[in-house]
Amino acid sequence: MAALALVGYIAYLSITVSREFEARRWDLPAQIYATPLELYSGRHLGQAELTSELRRLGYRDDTGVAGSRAPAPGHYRRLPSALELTTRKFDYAGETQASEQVKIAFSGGAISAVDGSTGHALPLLRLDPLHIGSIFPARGEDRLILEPDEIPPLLIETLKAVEDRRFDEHHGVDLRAMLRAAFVDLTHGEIRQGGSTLTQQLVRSYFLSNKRSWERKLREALMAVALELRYPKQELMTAYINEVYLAQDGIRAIHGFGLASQFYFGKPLEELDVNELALLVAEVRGPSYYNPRAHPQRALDRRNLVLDEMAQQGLIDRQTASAAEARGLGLLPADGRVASYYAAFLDLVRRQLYFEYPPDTLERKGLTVLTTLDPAVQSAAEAGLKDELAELDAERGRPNVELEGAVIVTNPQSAEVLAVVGSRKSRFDGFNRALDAKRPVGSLIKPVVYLAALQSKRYTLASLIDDSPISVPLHDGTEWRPDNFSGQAHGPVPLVRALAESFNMATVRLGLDVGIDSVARLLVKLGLKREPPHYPSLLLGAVNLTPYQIAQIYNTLANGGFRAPLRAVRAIVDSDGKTLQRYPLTIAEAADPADVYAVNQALVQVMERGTGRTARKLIPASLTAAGKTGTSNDLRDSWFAGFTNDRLIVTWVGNDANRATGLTGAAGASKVWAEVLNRIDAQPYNVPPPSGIDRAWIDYLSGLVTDPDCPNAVELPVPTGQEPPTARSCGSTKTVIVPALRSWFRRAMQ
Amino acid sequence: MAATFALRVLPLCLCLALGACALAPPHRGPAAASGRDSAFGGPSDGDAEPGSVTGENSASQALLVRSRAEQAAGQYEQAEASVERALRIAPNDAALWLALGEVKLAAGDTEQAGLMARKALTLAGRDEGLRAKAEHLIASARR
Repeated sequence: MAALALVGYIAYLSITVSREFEARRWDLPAQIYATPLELYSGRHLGQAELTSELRRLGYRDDTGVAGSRAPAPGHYRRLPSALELTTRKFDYAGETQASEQVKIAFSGGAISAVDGSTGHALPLLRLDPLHIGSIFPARGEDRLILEPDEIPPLLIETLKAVEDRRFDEHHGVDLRAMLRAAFVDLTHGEIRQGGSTLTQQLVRSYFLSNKRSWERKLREALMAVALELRYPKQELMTAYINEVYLAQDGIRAIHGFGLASQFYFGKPLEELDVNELALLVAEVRGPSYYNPRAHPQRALDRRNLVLDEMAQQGLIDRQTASAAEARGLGLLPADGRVASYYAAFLDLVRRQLYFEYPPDTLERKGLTVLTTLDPAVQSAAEAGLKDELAELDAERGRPNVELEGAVIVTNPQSAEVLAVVGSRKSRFDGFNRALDAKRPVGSLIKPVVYLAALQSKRYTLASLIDDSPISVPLHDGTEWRPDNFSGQAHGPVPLVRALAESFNMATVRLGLDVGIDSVARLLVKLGLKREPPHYPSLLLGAVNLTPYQIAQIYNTLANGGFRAPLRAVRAIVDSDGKTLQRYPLTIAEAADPADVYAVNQALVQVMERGTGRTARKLIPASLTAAGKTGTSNDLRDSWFAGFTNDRLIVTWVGNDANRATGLTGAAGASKVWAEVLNRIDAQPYNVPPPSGIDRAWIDYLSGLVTDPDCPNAVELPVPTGQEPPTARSCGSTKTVIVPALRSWFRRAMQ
Repeated sequence: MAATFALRVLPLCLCLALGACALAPPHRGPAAASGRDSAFGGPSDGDAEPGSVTGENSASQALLVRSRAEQAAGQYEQAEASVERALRIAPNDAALWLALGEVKLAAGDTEQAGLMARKALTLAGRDEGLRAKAEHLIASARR
């Protein structure tokens, strides 16, 4: 009877552990990658910047290292005004890119040539994309599965040498080792070699428990034996290498040598040096106790012990061991490339994916997710926000109102999201302000009002609108009397000026004339999901939106009136390398390109003459940009949204508890914007006018046609066929006669 | 009738007679550097390709050539991906938008084909050849 029970129990254990084994084997989290760096002649990327990107990818700098032999993938060498590089092989959306040896030449801060190994020019070279994270199950384990052929034999031999000498011979349990360990325990109080086999350790890792009871040890032993009966040694070793807990990163538990290699060294396992490999093996015994960042000396000592053992067992020669022992730990800096570094962007990726894919698929099917993140832009955005907020703190000297912020960067033409910053603290995995902080947008709404006005065909940028006190009766019987920020009224002003200088009274007057409904509807056409309530205060931005929603709206303006949903994911590839799904660029026409072009020119004037002046002065003179400031009531929210040809940046600065910061859009967010823009490569805003547009020189103050030589003359787009206003002189006869004649001439011809 | 006409034309003739006019079109000044504030920064009339540098062109041209080959082979998704990749390099190149529209048409997505052609038109400036092709694509997409 007891024998039967025992057999039954052993059978039960066997089934339980096998089930775990199988489940873990297929438990492959989705791995997420940034957009790959593309190198081509003409790209504004200097040697220092490229080197920085290569380091981010974990490439090794061989500059000055002797050896003429072709370097292995993942290495580069700096030369005067050039760089030699051996790229890594990789698959990108079903396309395999082989490893290439290339030479990049630089000139004037840009790439001047990209030459392949035979000396021929390559028009384009794409590097392997940066691994930025994974979607792992709620229990918090993350791993990068390695196939047997991706596991360096030296790792296998070292693990055996250090952890389980008789791995190849035993059947799950090594009694000699257990006895010796017990003996050593008793006599020395310290274990040099644990008594558990790798198989036992594998079993232990499946069933986490702090209890180290005899009962537990027995069960583990039985399960280990069961596993060995069912599975060959090689599979058990592979499973172990992919399963063993090696490090902790916040809430993320790093399992397996593949991910640990990326986590500690930023490189694939196969590129690790002997000393680096040895460190990872050292971690097996105690990832917290031997945490190389928290306890570097302890980790170093254990690593050298491992190296010693490797030499003793003949896995490496003495010379190699000594050289390796002399080296430092060689870790990535603590805040370099860890999952939480891209937390805000990954948040967006998850939300976009969970919409279509159940968590089970994302967490377990070994998918590859190719995203639109640009690591250089992301770093620039994070640093820009952090530095500028620190400076604002210093200037204001008011620590009781803590500033926080958010930044989103897109490529407006492709509607791809390049960077998301949810907080001024990098590595912050909490409230994502970029995606979730709903705040009153203030004057950011104005371009929409003016666009609605232009669309009505009753206004041009030169049309006059009265910036004087206005009283709006509200539904509750009260009267709304909006005031200008400066408190001043300016009388009749051209639309371009009213927008550039963000006059409230003029805007409200204009918006009421055009109709609040048109403004609300236009917001939806531009990309807002739900129409806001039609209150007059909508005209001055009394609507709460997130920076992401603003980015969607401004993205449509920035690309000339074509609405395209913002994308963070480009494609999903399955574990066999086949593209499961692509997210192609799709557009819709949201507004007449001619009208959008005109509004954008007014937004350029915001920078040249209006509330964006401060920011304009902070960026290079040649970098024409369009933008808009936004400030909410009582100066609680400071906004800026601005774009060039290929970059849209939205910034928000405020206080989490919604306290007044005292910062206008110009004083706060626009400076963050300039700070970020200065750190990235951007093409100036210089889109050609679409058809149906004439140009006219207008006097900025009066809105009348004028001569280019006159002060305050601004060249503006006016739709063909719309009557230009009467001329006004600034002294020259030409100004009066010529335009007047043209009017007469045109009328005469009708 | 005649009187109104005369009233309109007479001042014109007078001016011509007086020779006090120069029927010059509004002067397009250069960019801000000269002190004049032109909102039309960058290459005038859109004659030059915005953002064009030889290198960027050859990179995006190579991708364009590739996408055409992929399109011819019926690999529409790859062809699209290649053009999108080119657009990341030269986002304001009207020819690339046109090419994307052509791939969409070949793949059967007439709505996007038409929209891409319209987008190409907004960037085409004075390139008559390109404008014609874009108009043609819009027409094809409607059928």
